[in-house]
Amino acid sequence: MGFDQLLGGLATVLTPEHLLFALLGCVLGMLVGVLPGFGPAAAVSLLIPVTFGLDATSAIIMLAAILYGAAYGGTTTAVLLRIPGEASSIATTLDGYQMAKKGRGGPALVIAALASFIGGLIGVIGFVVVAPFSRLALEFGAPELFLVSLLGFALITSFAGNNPAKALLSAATGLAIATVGVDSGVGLARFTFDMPELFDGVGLVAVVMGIFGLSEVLGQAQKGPLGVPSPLKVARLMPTRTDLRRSALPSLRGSVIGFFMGLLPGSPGAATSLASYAAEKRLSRRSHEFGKGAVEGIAGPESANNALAVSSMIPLFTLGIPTSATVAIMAGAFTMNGLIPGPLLFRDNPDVAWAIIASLIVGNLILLILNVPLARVWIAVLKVPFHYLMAAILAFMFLGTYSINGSPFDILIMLGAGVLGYIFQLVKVPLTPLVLGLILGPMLEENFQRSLALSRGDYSIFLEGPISLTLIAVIIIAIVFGAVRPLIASTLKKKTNVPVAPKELAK
Amino acid sequence: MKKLTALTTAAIAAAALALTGCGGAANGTSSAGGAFPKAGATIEWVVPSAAGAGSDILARIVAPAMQEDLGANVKVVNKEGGSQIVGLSYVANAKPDGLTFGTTNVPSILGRYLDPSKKAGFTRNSFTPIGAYATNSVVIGVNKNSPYQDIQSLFEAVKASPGTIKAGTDSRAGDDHINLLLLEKELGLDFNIVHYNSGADKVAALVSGELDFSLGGVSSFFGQYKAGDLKLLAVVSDQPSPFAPDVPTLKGAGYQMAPMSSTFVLSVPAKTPADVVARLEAALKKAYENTAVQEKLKGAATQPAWLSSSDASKLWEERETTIKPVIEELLQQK
Repeated sequence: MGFDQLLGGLATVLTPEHLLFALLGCVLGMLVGVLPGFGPAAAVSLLIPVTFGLDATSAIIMLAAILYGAAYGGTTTAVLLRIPGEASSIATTLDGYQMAKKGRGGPALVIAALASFIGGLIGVIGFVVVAPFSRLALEFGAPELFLVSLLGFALITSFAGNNPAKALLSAATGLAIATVGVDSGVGLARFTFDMPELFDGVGLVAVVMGIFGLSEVLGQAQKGPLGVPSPLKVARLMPTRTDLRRSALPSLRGSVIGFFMGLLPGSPGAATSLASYAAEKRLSRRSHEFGKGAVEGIAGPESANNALAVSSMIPLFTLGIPTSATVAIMAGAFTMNGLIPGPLLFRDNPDVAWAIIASLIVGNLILLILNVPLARVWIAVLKVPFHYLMAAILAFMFLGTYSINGSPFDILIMLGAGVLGYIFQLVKVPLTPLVLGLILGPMLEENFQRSLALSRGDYSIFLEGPISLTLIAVIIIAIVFGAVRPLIASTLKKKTNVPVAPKELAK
Repeated sequence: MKKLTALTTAAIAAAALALTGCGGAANGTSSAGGAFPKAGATIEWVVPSAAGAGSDILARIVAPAMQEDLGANVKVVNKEGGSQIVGLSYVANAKPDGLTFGTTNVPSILGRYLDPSKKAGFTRNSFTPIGAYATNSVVIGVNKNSPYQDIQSLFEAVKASPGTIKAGTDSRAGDDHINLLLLEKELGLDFNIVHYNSGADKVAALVSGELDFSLGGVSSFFGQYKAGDLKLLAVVSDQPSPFAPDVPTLKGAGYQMAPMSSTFVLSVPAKTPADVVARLEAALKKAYENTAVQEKLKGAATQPAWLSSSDASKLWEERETTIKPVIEELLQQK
């Protein structure tokens, strides 16, 4: 494996036929993904038949293009409408939507496209470098993954705003929702009320769509009777030089975070892009701007997201093991075309393998080229008066939620989550910790149960091996810096300034 | 009066059909409402798992060939959720007009309705199989560096220290789990059974060495087996698998164990008219016989194998009889 094969792959992709399918995949994926509520999962199940009848290379290139095209489409709705097409675009809604509200939707979209491209590019370079060592990722077994998800909870502090208690309330709500379903260890049905729809738990995408998208629609509707809400301003389209400068480092850092997280088995994209967001917020000199439209808050997560999308394919290509639902779709495409994903792919069909890897760069470049001019078109959506726009969005959200599993039940989940999200917003409880709880809860619980099943109840399994010990050390540091230090700081502050508490109540 | 008219019309139609010789009875044309399916009709093939999952891929391989024979659209629809119960209930409760059928994988489906806590709302009697087109043999695999390089040494180790040898499943109460319990019961073994979230997670744990051994469909181990990361110790079948011809059968290794395999049965709702079932059966058989389809199935490490509607029903009934006591025991453990 090496860069010369990658160049060979590029040469294969840069034939008119393959380019055409990559372009077609990007466009189709993007068109589906840009519908509010439709994410990559929906795009693939709608578009898989389109890839039939193509030769293996074209089919897989096109499918991969559909996947990231749809992911980019989801970013567009996350920025413009605060509706993440999938859970991993949540981080982008935080600052992207704020930028759009200030009339900077254009720069936000262009930065997202640039950052995605950088993430994809670094992902592919990393692919070539890291692939021979990818077996090391398997060292992360159940106990290590338990510790990783525990560490993930440290992220909550970054999304707490100025009220940690409310953030914890939100996270606890997420964890509570995560308990719904039949538990994977002993088969106990929890809060399922004998409804098969709840056996596998509450659908993440439906919750995310409701809690972010629908709550925003409700929020806008609340303003309605006081007068027709005006469309958003659309100022300049291209990012300023400052925007670009401010995005450069976050994109690189995000790519690195995303790349390494993608190697871990079952690593959730949403938690990764939020981790990148948290990292940028902590590192930035302008951390007060985060959540109010900081461009770093888009660049970091978007590049993380795309680097993760690429690196999560490494275990599939080198070991034949799909580590996420999206990658499992790719694995299916290989099998459907009579190819066996895994080390044999490089031995028996190296041309196909390298062409697909190279197509990831080409596809991301196509998306970038398409989206700079297209940003103007997407932005035009915001010129539609909000009361019409919101009605259309609502309709698409119903369709999109239904399309995930073909299940009307998910629509009810989405509606419930929307109401919950709306109430949370009214009482100013942050929404992101809830999603973190919902994502990390099952990971934490399943790996905990699995570890103890493996060790037959012996807790020392969590202390075995250098990876576990390192993770424990990091968790301790995170707790000390994230929770204990602010606590001491606030007690010291209280001593000097007593009337803080009543003021808080008055709000 | 109306009834009489309807009867006359039907009689005239039947006579006309018989006279013109259209629709040939061998093809199983419906006499009630004209030929099944109506040209341009859409038939839903419900797959109770996500797009891109194993049984979804097989469905998408076979559906186009069925479509060609039926002259109607055969659309693969994914209804995921409730550990397949959502999709399977959808098929069981669909209008029995032949326009909805689904993948009812035997034995997977047994674990869904034999466990009353799953509230499946369907049983074997809710479905009529139209046939089966493929099977997947069950194999036992270990890591390439495992100390157990044959099935005897693995099972001896299990006997020497009961309850400690770690075996993975793709889900609790799923096929792997039930098959492991069957092995324990028949051969007097005791494993430490650990549940994973999917076949892929289970294989990853086997490749990394977290598990001592694992059991599952040959297709789920195929890539790693071919690459040499995993070693297959035995096929739980009477004949070796064509995908791993050198691997001995469990019987050949001296263990009396009924064959385990998973069979891709397709079923319509129980009340579907017999001639519609026969028409779908004929279309499935034609698709199965298609060489391109067979090649693609083999490419997915799945053995094309034909079972007629009645043979598939028989298989289903037999497997239910074997597996029912195991599931009941499993429920009592709770």
